[in-house]
Amino acid sequence: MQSLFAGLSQGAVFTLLGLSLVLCYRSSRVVNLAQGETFMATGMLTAKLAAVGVPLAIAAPAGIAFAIILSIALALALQRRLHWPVQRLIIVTVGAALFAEGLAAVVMGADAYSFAPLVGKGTLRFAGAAIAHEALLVIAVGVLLAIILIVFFRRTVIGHALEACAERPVTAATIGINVNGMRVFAFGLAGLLSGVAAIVLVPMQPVSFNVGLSLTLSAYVAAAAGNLVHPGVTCIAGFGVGLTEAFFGAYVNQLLAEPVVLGVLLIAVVVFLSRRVRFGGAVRA
Amino acid sequence: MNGSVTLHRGSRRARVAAQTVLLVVFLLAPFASPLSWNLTVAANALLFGLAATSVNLALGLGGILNLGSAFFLGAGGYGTALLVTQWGWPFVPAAVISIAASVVVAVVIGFLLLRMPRFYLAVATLGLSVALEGVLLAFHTVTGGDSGLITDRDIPVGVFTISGDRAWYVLIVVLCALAVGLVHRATIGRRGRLLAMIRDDELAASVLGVHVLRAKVIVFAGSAALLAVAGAVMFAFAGVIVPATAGVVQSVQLLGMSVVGGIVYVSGGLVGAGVLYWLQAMVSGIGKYQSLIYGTAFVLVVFFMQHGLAGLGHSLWRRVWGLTAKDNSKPDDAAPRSLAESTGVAEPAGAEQPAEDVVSTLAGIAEAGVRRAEPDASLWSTSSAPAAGLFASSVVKRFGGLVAVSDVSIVVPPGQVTGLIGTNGAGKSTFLNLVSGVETPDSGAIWLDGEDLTKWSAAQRSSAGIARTFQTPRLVNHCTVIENVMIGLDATDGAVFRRHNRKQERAARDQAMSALERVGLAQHAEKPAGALGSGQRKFVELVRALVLQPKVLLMDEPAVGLSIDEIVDIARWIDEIANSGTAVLLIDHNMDFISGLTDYVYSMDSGQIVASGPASAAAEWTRSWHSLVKEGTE
Repeated sequence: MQSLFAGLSQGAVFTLLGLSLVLCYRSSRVVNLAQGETFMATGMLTAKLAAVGVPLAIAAPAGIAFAIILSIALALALQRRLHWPVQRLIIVTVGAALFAEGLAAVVMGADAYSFAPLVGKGTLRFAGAAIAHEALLVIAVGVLLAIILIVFFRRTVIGHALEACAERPVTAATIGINVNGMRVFAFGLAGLLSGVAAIVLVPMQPVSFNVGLSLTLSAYVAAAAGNLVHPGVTCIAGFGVGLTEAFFGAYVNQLLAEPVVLGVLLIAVVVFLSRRVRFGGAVRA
Repeated sequence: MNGSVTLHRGSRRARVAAQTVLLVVFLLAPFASPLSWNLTVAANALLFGLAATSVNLALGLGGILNLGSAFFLGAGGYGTALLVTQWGWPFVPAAVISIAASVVVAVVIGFLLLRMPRFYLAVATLGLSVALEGVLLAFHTVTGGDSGLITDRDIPVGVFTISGDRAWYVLIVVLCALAVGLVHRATIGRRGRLLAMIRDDELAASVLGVHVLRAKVIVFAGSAALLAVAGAVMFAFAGVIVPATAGVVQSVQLLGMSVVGGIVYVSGGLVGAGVLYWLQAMVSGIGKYQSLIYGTAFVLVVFFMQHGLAGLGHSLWRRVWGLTAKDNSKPDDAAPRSLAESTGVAEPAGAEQPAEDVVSTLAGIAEAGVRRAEPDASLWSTSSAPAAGLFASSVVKRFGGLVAVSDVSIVVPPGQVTGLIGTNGAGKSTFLNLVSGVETPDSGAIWLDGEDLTKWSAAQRSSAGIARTFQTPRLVNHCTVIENVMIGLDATDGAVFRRHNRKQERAARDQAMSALERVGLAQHAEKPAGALGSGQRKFVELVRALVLQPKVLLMDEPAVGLSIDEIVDIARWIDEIANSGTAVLLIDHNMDFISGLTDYVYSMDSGQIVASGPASAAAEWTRSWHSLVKEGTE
């Protein structure tokens, strides 16, 4: 039971980051491997502000705003370079991630940071397990934002416009969609999701400078299950990845949990997806 | 022409000389006392350079982004370390077995993931790198956990014993030179051209007959082998190996070295590793700046210096030897000679029309009827598979609920031009994809010369003699025109990696040149294909398809985007191709273009063949269709 909730709260974070990856990919075909760094940045800034006595009501929004700004900065830097080959765009995001990590290591050092949770420290007794309020908050926020985002993609004009920007940017522009604006918006939204994930998770799991990439990778497993475009599948897979990690960690080997998810699960997902793909994905002549 | 060849020879000799000097300098450095103080740094830099060279091999040559290259570094290193320390194996067999095992793993991963869009392999390998580091930490009883595995640095190799920094340094220099030499060999001649084609356009490469997946797996496995060698030597040289060797930070740093050095240059990995490792060693003790240094260099180079440090060096080198890029591609304003001019054949009546008047020119082609002989309609009978030519029988293709091609049967006999007309969305291009192997039909069969090749891949069908052109030409834009044509010849046997032969290379160049002369594009031969106009690009693509001397030529809307002169040229040319015995399938929606040029026409609508008959009859359909439209509008 304990592992169930641990897995679900971890899964909620993977879901939020996975959805951020989907947003970036759907708007501009960029696999943003620097996504986890926005999580790290929010956690770090909020913790630092909280440590110097800034109330959480100000520190948390400031942290989220920081994530949004970073994300938008990346979008702006990439804006005129989206015609680059996919690999090169990935390399840029890896470089950005390395840079962010390096900067955080220098500014904040190797320590892990945390801050007080938004909800009280209490626990809820349920089926013989003690579940912290904060864990419930993480899960609730994850589920809620995921549903909002799915509705956003399926039901709103902006959601469809985002899709158009990725599929046929020139066409989208000619029918009056502000393509660049939409991309900046999508990256901003991705930053927001990652930032919120950090605000709810970091009180439970302190953040250090090097959490970014491994978080991104776990989230990527979830997003890859949805081919990086389906928010619904990404949500389910996100929680699935979290649960796998938690149960494997609890019942088999704590240290092997992450390797299993990143090695075995990722390869399995990709191989499953590869059944019908040929010519490097360029099936249309 | 001669001048440029001697220049190339000159620079080649200079390059070989420079390389030899470099190698000697590197080899002697440890024995010249002022340099020996940082021998360990130099050896380590070279080892990382060896690893980064493999990143260059995969990414720069194969277009394969391996974000988790340290996975193979760790596999080679830890494989050797475990065999040596836990099972007491001697170093050499342990290293050989680990390197072989790494290659096997790379081949498996490659076959599974290299057929996917490119970022899947990138992220999956990154995941593997994280996973391996985690596993090494988790099984700390065997792997020594954080503190790693330790070995004796004196390694007996046959009668020698490698001991001390100097011996290791020399060995490492030799290994690096070998690696650079091997990678360089993959960049020259037909291998280089075919890899460029694969990198730029896998689909077009497959259609030309290249075994794309196989080539990519070989490149990936080769890069894994280099990494495993580097890993094994790193372990022996340092006498210790730690889990971080396999980790994500190491992977990203290797990529950083490769990017900073210059991805497309063979020397890029060594240059990048040299600079970054040296920087790292200089600011040692401040290990926490490491990621920041790498990250900053990485981002700056990716954004502002796309070819990296090696690119910078390369352009300086060319300036020194008076070879600027402009020399090879002087702007040439001369328009290509028309086919009629170059072959001495009189222009058809259509060409006499005023150039602006497209419609009347096309009508002129139709009236002139390049192919006048009344064909024998029984050639196109679809009742049984003909002994010669292409035969599609009851082919069906669905995309979800949409039936794009529904029960289509057509025959394309040799020596004849068969037309396939239909409006946009009628399923013509999908049908062409089914025939050339780009898509597989849901049911039905494709036959060539009485042989069923429905299950064959695009590359196999190409080797069997099916060539095609695309609606929008798919050329390698940064390669020269002649190289693009040579790719057609290179692709004949599909294998990318076979012996490089200078004689064959020259023969291929001559053959490509004479083919280009025939279409009057010879003076553009050394220009990058990207610099040509869209009409010229279509001709280049057609030449590339034809140098294979295919049995069947499939042409997807060859007239679209051409000027009137070019349309006349291509029409004459298509006629000539058919007369030489090739079966030609011409797809177009322009009846005027098709009716004068074809012997027999199939008309397609909503995925079905709605009419077929000799071209003369088909012209009648359009006339009646035109009158129908007129009636409708009146």
